[in-house]
Amino acid sequence: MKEDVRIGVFVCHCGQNIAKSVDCEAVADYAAKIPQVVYSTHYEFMCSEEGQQLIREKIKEHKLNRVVVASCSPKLHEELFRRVVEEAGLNSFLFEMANIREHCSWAHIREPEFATQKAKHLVRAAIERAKTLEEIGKTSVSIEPTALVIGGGMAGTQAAMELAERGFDVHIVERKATLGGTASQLGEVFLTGDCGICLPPVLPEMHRRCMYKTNLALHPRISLHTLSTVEDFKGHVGNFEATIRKEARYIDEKACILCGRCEEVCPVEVPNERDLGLSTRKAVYLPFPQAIPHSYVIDGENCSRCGECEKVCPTKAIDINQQVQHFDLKVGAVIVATGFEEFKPFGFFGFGEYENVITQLMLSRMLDPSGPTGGRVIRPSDGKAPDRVTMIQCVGSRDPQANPHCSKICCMIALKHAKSIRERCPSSDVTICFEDIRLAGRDYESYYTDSQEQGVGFLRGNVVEVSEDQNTHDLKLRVSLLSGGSEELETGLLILSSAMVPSEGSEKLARTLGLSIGPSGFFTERHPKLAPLDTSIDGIYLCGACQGPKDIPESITQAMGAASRASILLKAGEVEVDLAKAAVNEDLCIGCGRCATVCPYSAIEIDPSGKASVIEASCKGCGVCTAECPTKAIQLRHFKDNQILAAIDGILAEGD
Amino acid sequence: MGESRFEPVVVVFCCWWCSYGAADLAGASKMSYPPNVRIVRVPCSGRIDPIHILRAFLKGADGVMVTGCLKDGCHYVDGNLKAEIRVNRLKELLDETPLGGDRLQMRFMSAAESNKFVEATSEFVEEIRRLGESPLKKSIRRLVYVREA
Repeated sequence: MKEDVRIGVFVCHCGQNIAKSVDCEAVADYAAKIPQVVYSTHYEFMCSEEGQQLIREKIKEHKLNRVVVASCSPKLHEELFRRVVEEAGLNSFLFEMANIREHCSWAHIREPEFATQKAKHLVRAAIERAKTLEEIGKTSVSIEPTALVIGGGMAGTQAAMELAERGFDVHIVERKATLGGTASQLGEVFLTGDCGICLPPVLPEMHRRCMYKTNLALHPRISLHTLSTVEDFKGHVGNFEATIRKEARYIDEKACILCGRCEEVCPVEVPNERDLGLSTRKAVYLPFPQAIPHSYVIDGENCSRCGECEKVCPTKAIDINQQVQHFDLKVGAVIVATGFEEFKPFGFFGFGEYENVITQLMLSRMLDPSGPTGGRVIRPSDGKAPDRVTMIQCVGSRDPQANPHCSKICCMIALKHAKSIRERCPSSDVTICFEDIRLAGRDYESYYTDSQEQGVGFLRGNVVEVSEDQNTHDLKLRVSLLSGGSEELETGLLILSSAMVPSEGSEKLARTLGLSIGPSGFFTERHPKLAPLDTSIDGIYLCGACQGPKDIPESITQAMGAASRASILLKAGEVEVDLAKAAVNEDLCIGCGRCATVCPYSAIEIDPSGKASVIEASCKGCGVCTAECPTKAIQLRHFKDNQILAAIDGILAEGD
Repeated sequence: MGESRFEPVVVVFCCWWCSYGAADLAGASKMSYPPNVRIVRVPCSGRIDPIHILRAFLKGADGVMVTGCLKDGCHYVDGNLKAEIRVNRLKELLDETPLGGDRLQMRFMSAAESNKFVEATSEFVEEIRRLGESPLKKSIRRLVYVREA
């Protein structure tokens, strides 16, 4: 029985966004002449309530059973219009969108005559495809009311805390041996001047919460997995399954009483990564006094397996034969908060070559009262306080050769550190070499004016040469001034304001989760304005510096926002998923199994009867199987061969 | 389109997760590329069957470009690499015909790489303009003419 196809076409002006370069009336007239189009019109804003009402009315009035809206990208409003046609009693998959804004009017804004012609092609493709569309059902699946937070820094911890306080179980997966992230390496942070690891209070408390004193690890709803990474990830919104790889800690964190006897007997000494090489640690060590979990850890890579620590441990907490573990977590939502790391500026301004060239993060380790120098600024070459300190801004940032982006917080960090040095050691001169100073924050400008008052020198230009005096290890800089000419500077300590770059492993994580990353390697959000904390995958959210350079207040704000987004989903109980997945025509299937071989999700099985069958819960709708099938027995619903061919025929149809 | 110079018809298959987004971003950034480019949406470049590409040539495309996510960055694990294998095989076959394999190309880009979309499609349109009208289109036109006469 062939159904009588009745198509309605609605061409949107989008104010002037489309109408400026596309003659929307001409496009609607063109559509009206195409067979099976029974109604065609154009309207100023199809997404407005009036536009939506127009669609609903015309569906009823003209007994439309297919709807085409020619407007913006379906990435923006496809969901909205699907809901509108559903409200009028049509299955939401009997709707098709023609992207005549992003793909046409905006791209061809200077060629209106071509833009109108192209819009007709795009609308024709949508109409031809609409003729072949079929109803697709939905099914509802229950949501696992548990969240996975990847990354245990400022942002991840905050997000986890918010969700736990709202009554959801949360797993934090942290790559390192302790929570805290980069913020825990900062002795004092800008604006508040306190340490980097306080968490905002949860109502109705009003006192601040130290991450460590709160002892997050003991929160009944939070499960903490340190030294862990996400190795495999599958499932869909509401029901994800993450396989976690947990490296061996070699120490039972609950049994460890922090007596430190293991550390005393350990014969292996290596550079301490937390102090960026400014101090050393043993192979068995406590990352820092307040580390969470509150336990020693053995660095398996450097441990000589001598077994001395095992002998002296009074609680028998050490097990040097511990192995890597794998376990699965079932979660409904995921928050990615993998943060950033400081760009390692090897090859920039003598870093890695001259001892007295360090980065801002190394300087902040020195300025930390509990850091490697007890809060004193010293020259690594001789341990003495430098008379002159010089900073260089934008190292590895705003540099097409390294990272194109502005790292946003380095100006504030340089000013904060310059102030600290002047306060603690007034005899030290501080000069900042910069091209631009960017302090776009409400209370940030005062750091600039204050540091000028404190006598911090500012030199606007590019450092073009750095050389070292081999005897004194003093450095000589040549600065090419923006105002013309050049200036020579001598300095005892050179500090590079190095870029913020995504944490190591974030590219791999993006691949594992299926998220997209931008040119600088940061995770990209679903939409910069409309969905800044969502990702292209439903149920996965972003917060903090993994999404781009950010300071602590912004990261905290985002973490609260991402937790809120996730809790909307987790609280819903169940979520509707459509069945736009692959389906097999058993009459055509020859049981060759090629579909099962190419399916990236193992969603296809060959039945005992020798026919392929699709596990709908696992199918993600890529259609790789459909392209591979030699008899075209397996077809991806909504993107069946005849539906794609119809779009191709339509887009190449002649005549206007 | 212009009388004097040949305006090729170019079909670009865009995967929903990456290149479709790159094209969206190009438009949103008001970046310009030739209006000869006509985009067909697919969920993944790995969904594209050689018959889709051949149909486009049969229906009058002078060039076809398949675009997908970056290698290692496919939303569906490795659909883009499967697409690349299919495209390369089809190119070899097309080389055996008067159409030629150069009229079919594949490009990889992330959703953020609007510049890559603009550069790839602009260069491709120029390349096809240089190659001239599809010989298949000419012979089909002759066929229709004969049949109608």
